[in-house]
Amino acid sequence: MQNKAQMSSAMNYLFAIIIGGIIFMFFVGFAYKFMGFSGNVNAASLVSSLNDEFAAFSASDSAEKTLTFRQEASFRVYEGRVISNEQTQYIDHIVFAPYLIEGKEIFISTKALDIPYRVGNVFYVDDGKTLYILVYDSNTEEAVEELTGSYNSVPTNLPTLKVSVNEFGNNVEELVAAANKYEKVRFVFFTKYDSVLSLIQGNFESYEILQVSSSEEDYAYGNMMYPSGEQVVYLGYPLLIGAMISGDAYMYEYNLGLVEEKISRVSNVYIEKAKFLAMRLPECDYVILKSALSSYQSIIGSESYSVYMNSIENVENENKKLGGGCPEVF
Amino acid sequence: MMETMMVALVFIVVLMVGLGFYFKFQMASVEEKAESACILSNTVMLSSITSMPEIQCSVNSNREECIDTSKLLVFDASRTYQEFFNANCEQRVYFVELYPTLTNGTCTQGSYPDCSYYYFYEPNVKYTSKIVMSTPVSLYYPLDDSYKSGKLVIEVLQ
Repeated sequence: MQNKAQMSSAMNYLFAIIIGGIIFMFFVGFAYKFMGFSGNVNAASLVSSLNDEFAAFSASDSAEKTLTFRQEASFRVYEGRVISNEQTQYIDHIVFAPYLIEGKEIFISTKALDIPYRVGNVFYVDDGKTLYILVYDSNTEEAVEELTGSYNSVPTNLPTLKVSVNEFGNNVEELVAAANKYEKVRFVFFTKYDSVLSLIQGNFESYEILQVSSSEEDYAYGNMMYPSGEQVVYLGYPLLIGAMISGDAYMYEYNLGLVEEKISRVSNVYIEKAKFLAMRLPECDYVILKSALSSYQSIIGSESYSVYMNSIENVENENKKLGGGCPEVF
Repeated sequence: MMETMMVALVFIVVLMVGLGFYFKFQMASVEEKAESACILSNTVMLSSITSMPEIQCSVNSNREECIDTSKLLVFDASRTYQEFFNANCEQRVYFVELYPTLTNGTCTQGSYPDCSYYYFYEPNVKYTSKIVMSTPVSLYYPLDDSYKSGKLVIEVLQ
């Protein structure tokens, strides 16, 4: 009898432990699911707020803003999507960014892209962890000046320094001290870097070298070479800045593709507008402009910046010939 | 043993009911957040649409703060910008000329410029209610180089 009572009590304990274990596991599972759910909601609201910031910024020719988050934000901007905590949202904006953006403060900025008419805005997102050092020589000093102290300049919320290649050796300690405040340094050379490469290798731990080349005096159009050796084309300073901050050539080229789509779309609007004006104003000659716009549209995707430049100049000149009773198309 | 099972059963039932209520309120809160995000996005859109290069005025390659009505006629946003407009919720977008004349006519290349309504984006969806937002805009008519008063209307469809 006593043995039976002891056995029943032991069974009760065992049963209570099993039930308790199941309930405990249920709560742990619930907590994990809730954490995931809450993370997804936060990520979705981050992506949505970024999208709204971009949309609001697109009304401006040039603007900058710092977004401050209550907790550490971490996301990627890749192939037209903002990816955060496994949440992905497509954005209909052209956003240049490094591989990963992390921090409580995120810097966003925008510039309007006019080639030759406005085709939209490009956006830059950065976490301020990379220092950009622009290196110039006597031939490219003006171009770098344009990029650091004018309307076309690199957004002020991107940490940027400029230095002459001839003064690099004298300023190297100062540059190293400045670079120590950042996780990485990106040198953007508007000249050859052979003469200072050993200085960079000997003094900087985490660095990358980008090389800009152009036959234009103002470097407004040209090519950018990434550390991997891949070369990309840029059309105007906004895209040069985009190439500077992009994680790699692929990330830049994806956005260049979006820019080209925009050029094509806006050019098409102007071709259709020219057709409409020609129909309503038969006394005006829109044939040459239509042909120039079509020719511009057809060279989209070219890997030569000079091909773009010639086409843009042609379109601009033909539009300028209009006026008076024959309204300009753009 | 029977008592233990009964206690465990009652506990689990109470727990399930509690969690059910909790999730119901949680979902309602998320839906509310989504709706306010939609309203916010559309308010932002009121200013961003007017600066779209596809429809904004451009004179000598410089943009002006007005909407080029000839561009509205030739640009089909419903085809090109479907993802942009559907990002958070469904909406209908159009421009209306208010002054000097307001007619009922929809603007097409044939009826232009004797018309008032320029439909910019029209989704093919069913809805039961709508929230209407609008902002004043200046409408530019390149044929006679004139400007007229109008408004941009966004109807959030629910």
